[in-house]
Formats: sequence, structure tokens, C-alpha cells
Amino acid sequence: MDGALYTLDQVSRCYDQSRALDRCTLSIPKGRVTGIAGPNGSGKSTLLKLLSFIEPPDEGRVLFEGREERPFSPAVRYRVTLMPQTPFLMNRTVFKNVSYGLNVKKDRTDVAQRVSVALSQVGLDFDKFAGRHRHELSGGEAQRVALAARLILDPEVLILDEPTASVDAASSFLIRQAILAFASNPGKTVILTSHDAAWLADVSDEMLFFFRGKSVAEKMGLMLFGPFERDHHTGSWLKRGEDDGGIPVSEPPDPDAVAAVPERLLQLGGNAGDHHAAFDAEVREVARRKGHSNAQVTLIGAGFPITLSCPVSQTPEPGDIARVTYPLSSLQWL
Amino acid sequence: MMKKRFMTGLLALVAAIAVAGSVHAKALMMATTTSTDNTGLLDYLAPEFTKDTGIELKWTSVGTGKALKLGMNCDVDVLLVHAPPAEKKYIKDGYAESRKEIMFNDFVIVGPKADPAGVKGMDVEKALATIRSGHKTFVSRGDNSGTNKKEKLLWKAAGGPLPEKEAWYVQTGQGMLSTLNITAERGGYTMTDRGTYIKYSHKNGGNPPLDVIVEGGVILKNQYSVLILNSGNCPKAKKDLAEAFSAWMASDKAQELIAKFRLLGKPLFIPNANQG
Amino acid sequence: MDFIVDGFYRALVLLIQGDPQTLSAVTTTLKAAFLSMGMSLVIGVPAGFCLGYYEFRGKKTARTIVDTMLALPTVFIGLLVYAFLSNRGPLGGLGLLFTIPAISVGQTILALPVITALTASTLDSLDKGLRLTLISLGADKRQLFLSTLWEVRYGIVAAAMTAMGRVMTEVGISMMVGGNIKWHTRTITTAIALETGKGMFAEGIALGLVLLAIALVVNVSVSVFRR
Repeated sequence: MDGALYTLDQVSRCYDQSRALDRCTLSIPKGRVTGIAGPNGSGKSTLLKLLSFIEPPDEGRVLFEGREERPFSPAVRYRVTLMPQTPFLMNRTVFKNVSYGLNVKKDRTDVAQRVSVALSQVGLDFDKFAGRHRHELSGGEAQRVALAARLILDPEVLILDEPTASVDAASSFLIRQAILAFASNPGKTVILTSHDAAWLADVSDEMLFFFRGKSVAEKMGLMLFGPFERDHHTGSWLKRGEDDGGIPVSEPPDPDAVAAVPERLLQLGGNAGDHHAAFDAEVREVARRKGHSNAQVTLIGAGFPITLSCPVSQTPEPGDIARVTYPLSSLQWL
Repeated sequence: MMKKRFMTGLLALVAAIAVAGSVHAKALMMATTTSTDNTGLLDYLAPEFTKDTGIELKWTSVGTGKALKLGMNCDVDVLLVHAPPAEKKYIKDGYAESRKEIMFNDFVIVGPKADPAGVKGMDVEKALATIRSGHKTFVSRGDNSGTNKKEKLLWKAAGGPLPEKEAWYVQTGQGMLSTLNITAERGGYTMTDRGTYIKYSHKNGGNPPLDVIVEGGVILKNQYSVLILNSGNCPKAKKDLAEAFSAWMASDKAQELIAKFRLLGKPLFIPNANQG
Repeated sequence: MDFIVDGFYRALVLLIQGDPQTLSAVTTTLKAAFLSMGMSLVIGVPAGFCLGYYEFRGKKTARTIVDTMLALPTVFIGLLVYAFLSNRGPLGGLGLLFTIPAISVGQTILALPVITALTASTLDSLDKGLRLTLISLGADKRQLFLSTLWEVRYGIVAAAMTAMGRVMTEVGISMMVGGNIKWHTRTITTAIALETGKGMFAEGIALGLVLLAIALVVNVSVSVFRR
């Protein structure tokens, strides 16, 4: 926990009967970029709202620098800022939107200059945009204005929820540049989520994986949802695929449990054995990246996506049927 | 900054309330009836009253019943009404301590020029009895106003019960002018105060469809009086100012002014403060 | 029917000549309206804010009650206020009856449900993203409240205009608790009632047109603000 900026201790948060965060315990380091990955509905947005102290937990504590903090707390109010998934611009000029956070702090020095700088950081020309209203901006421009409104505050912690979702390519590029520029300043902590898994992995120093309201130890290469079946002959459990094949699993603890195998433990090739399970899957995509000696392979098995990494020299062709093996003991139930 | 603006706004509001509610030192609050106010007599007399006494006269005009109620609740300092039986009961019940008769005008029976009931020139009691037996249309205000109460008194004097449910007896529930209009349309008879008749006549260019058919007689007299409220019931009422008003209305000057008052060029009131 | 045409001429005469009685009625109307609008905004906007912005148990019930009070007849309010302000009533000692503040009290009761309900509606339909944005930019509770109000300022102005319309045109309250006293509590609407009762329909129409003229001036100045 040393060096941890945030610590969540058994934090739960509920909305209308459903638990968005479920006894979640994790910590986030200071001065690094932490990416949070996970499927939709896993609770990432809620986590970010709690980390930015916009909402309080229903159970548990959120600790910042070792002290429990809650919304509107003066200790964190000006130091942490969130860029929400769909940022909202107020019904006023771009200038007023961007300078709002400064007004709130009663920070009145050189406002115009600082607005100009913030806008240029997101690639917007002050003279062209400062006087516009929200209905005069494209979606990407509005998103960039929202980011400028946060950058101008020079926070210690910048939290971003899907910063480039539903944004045009040019804006997406500019936003990513701005985030990187911010992160490169010493002592800045960035926490973000993104649907673009590749970019997220690239930009993050640390990764957190989120699933059903909790953080999960590491990235899972395989996640299987029920229902599961028991083979009549062998008595073992599996997830049946379309064509009689299936993926072996262990006995599910309850009907809603999800079977997961860490990505690093999935391998191409190999055989089933006492301690290993094997199945066939169709290769969909092979991705190689500069400077990496491994390629990322995406397959489909039993209707579910599977990701694993394998040496460049052994990459299969998309369309091939490949054999995938993993240690039986590594299969977790979430 | 916002807070400061809010505070100044609030202060301005309070100041406005204070100014709006400021009361003159010598002001007399009176309740009178709508028909009295509608003659314009008070607009004519009030400035003279203020000139002579330095007291500002403020009045609200409502129905007779409500005026008496306002006096009961001590919401006014003095009353000017014209319902002697009710006034006498009022004094008996302890709401007023005295009344001073000031002036009178009269009620008249009006009807079509052709006078289908043939009651012109009769005494009012005989006229009403004739209208009744002839089942001729008679229009009443039917609203329990001072005028309406007077009309009921006349029916009583004419003999027999009130013609409530008779087919020829029309109750409008409205003011005097509307009632006159309805009477003219139905070609019937009605009882009105002379002041309203003068206005009605004027509105019809001096030649209205209804003429005065029956007039005169003590019973048709409409007596106006000033009532001083009982200080036992209303200790805060400005009795001294009320008495000043009463005295002034009875003074020679005021009585002369009353006699000289013209409504659309016609005389309306007869002063009688210094009789009996 | 010709009294309507007559009324138009009379209205022009009254306005051009600056007839003192008309002027007095105008200033009385405006004084009473100004006071009551002030009071109802100070109470009604925060009340409407709470009713629209927050979720709480009994929110629907509270809203229904406020909406029902929109249907309070002015004469009924007038009667209620009279009962309280009469010398016989609990607040009689204040001596407010037959004064402009008394009219304002009644008109505030009239305007409050309008302001509250319309403000609540405006805030109910407010994008939830605003709260998120404001807090993420460092607003505290007070700034959150004020910035939210500013964001819906046009909705609140519309609420105020609606309430103003009701207040400036009511008769029941002014008549009952104001007393229609010449020079003191005679408003344009009570003056219209008086003239009509006297059969002076043209005068009534004229005063009505004067009232419309005032309403026009008010609305024009508001639309300038909206720009």
C-alpha cells in the first residue's frame, strides 16, 4: 500500500437494487497512468466516480493519501478531476465553460491567457472557439472543450472515462496527445478507461481489470458465461460450442459464475493431459506490433472470444483452427 | 458577490414594503356601499372634508352586508350605509353606538312607457298589489343587497307573501344596471334607486325604454346615515376622527354641498341631518 | 359592441393625458406585483429547486399538492388572507388590511405554486450530466446550487413571467384585502371591476388595454434579457 495514492477498502455502491461495485478492494499508485479494462457494465464508470469523489460509497471506504475522503471534501476538491463519458457543456460560451473551474476556486489571475493555453492543448484556436456556444460545436470539439476545462485546473489526478468514445478520428488523436502530454508532467496521476484495448494497454503503466464490480487479479484471456453442461460419459463439465466441441471447465460454484483463465496461461498447441485442458478454436485475428516479439492472437471458441499471446514465429493464419491449452488449475470462477 | 446582490435585493424589498405600508397620521377608514360610491358623491365631498379637517378619507365600497361585517370585525373606523332597520339592530347588538342621519334619496318603480299594469301615479303598495294580481312581469335583483331588502319590504307592505316562486317574478341576482336592462327587455317593472335610474336614462340618450311609473311616499325613502362604531367592540377604531366626519357631514357646509350635488345634471340627494 | 371601439380611444386619451387616477392605479398594480413577485421568487425558486432536483420519498405527493394549489381561486385566497389580516383575525394587530402589502401577501400565495411547479419541472428535465460536470470541476454545494440555477435561468424567467401574468391580472385578492380604495389600493383590475359595475364599459376596456400595454413592455424587456 505504500506509494498508493488511492486505496479502496471493501467498497460497494448500489443503484436501484443492483450492485455496481461489490466489496471492491484495490489500490492505485501515485504518479503513474493506470488503465482500467473490463466489459461494459462491469462497474468501471462507477469506480471512476468514486475515485473522483463525485459519489460516496454505500459501504466501505475510499482512502486518498491514506485518509478517508468523501464528496465535496476540501482536501480533494481541487486536486482531483473527472472527465465523464459524455461530458456536458453548460449553456454559456466556450470561454466560460473552460474557465468555470478557475472561477470556482476564485483563481482570477491571467484567466484569458490560461484559457488560451488550455484550448491550444486540445488543438482549438482561441479566437475561433472562445465565443462559441455548445450548439455551435461538433461532438469532437465539445469533448475537447471539456478536456480543456479540466486541464486548465492542472489537477494532481486526472480521471477519464472513455475519453475518445464516440468522437471523430481527428479529435480522438488530439485528445490522446493531450492526455499523454499531461501524463508526462512529473507527479501527475492519470486513471482512465477505454474501449480501445490496444491503446489502453499502450498508454498505461499499470492495468487493472474489472469484472462485475470487483477488480480482477490480471487480464483474462478467456471468459465463459453459463450455462455449462456435464458430459454424460466423462462426468466432466464443459461449455458446449456449436459443433460438438466444447471448452472444458471445472464444476461451476453457482449458475451465474463466469469461468476465466488468465491470458498468460493460454497457449497455442499442446495436448490435453492430466493437468491441462485443450480445445479447438478458430483464429480470427493476428496482431503484431512494432518492438514486440509476441503477437496478440484472437480466436473464437464456443462462441466466446479468446485472446492469447504467442511468439511471432509461431503465429497462425486467420481462419485456421488452432489448438489452445491451459492448466486446469488456473481456471477461476468469478 | 452573489450574496451581496441578494442582500441588497432583500433590503430593497423590505424598504418597499415599509414605504408601501406607510400610513398617514390622520386618515379615516370608512366602509360604504357600492351604490353610494357609484354616485360619485364621495369623490365630490372628500376633498372638501380633507380641506376643512385635515383628515384623509379612505373608503372601500362593498355590499351593505359586508360593510356591516367590516364594522363588526373592526376593519374600518366608520360606516356610511343606507339600511335603517339593519342599522338599528346593529346598534342594539352593540356593534355601533350611534347613527346620524345625513341625507336621503328615493327608490322608484319603473316600467314600460305603455304601463300595461296601469299603475301610474298610484301609491306603491297599491301598485305592487295590482302588478301581482295582474301577473305582470316584475324583475327583482334577488341578491339580498340593500336595494333588494327594500323591495322585499315593499311587497310586505303591499300585503301577501313574497312572490318568490311566481312565474311573473324574475330574480336576476345581478346589479342594478343589469337588472334594469333585463327589465326593459322583458317589458316588465322593477324597483330601482333614483341614482342608477339617472345613469340608465343618460346611457339611453335621455330617452330610455323605462319610465318612472311610481314615486314618492315615505316608504320609498332611502335614508343614508353615518354609524359610529362601538368603542367597546372596537377600541382601536379612530372614534374621534369618525365623530369629526359625522359632524362635518351634518354641518351646514356639507349639507349644502349635498343639496348642490348633481349626477349627470340631475339632483340626487336631499340633506336631512338637522331634522328630527 | 361600440364600447370596445370607444375603449380604444379612451385608452389612448388616458395614456397621453397621463390621467392621475389611471397613473395611480398603474403604480399600485406595479408596486403590489413587484413585492409579490419578489417574495414568491425568493421562496419559490429554492422550493422548486428542491422539488425538481432531488429524489426523495414523497416527491410525487409533494408535486401533486403544489400542482393542486395552482387551481386556488383568487377570491378564495382573498377570503383566507382577509380572515388572517382582519382585526378580528390572528394577524390583525399588524394593521395590514386595506394596504398594498396585504394585496402582495395574497398575490404571493397565488404566485408561489406557479413558480415552484414550473421551476421544479425545469429542474426535473435538466440533464444529469450537469451535476457531474460541476462537481468534477470543483464546485461546492453552494456553487452547485447557483450554477444549476444559472443553467436553467431561461426556465425560471418563464416561470416568473407566467406568475407575473397571474398576479397582475387578478381581481379577487386585490378587491378583498385591498378594498379598492382610490389613490391607495385601487389597482388596474379593481378599477376595471368598478367601472364595469358602474356601467362604464368603455372605461373598463380602456383600463384593460393599459394593462396589456404594461404587460407588453414587461415582456419586451424580458426578451431583451433573453438575447
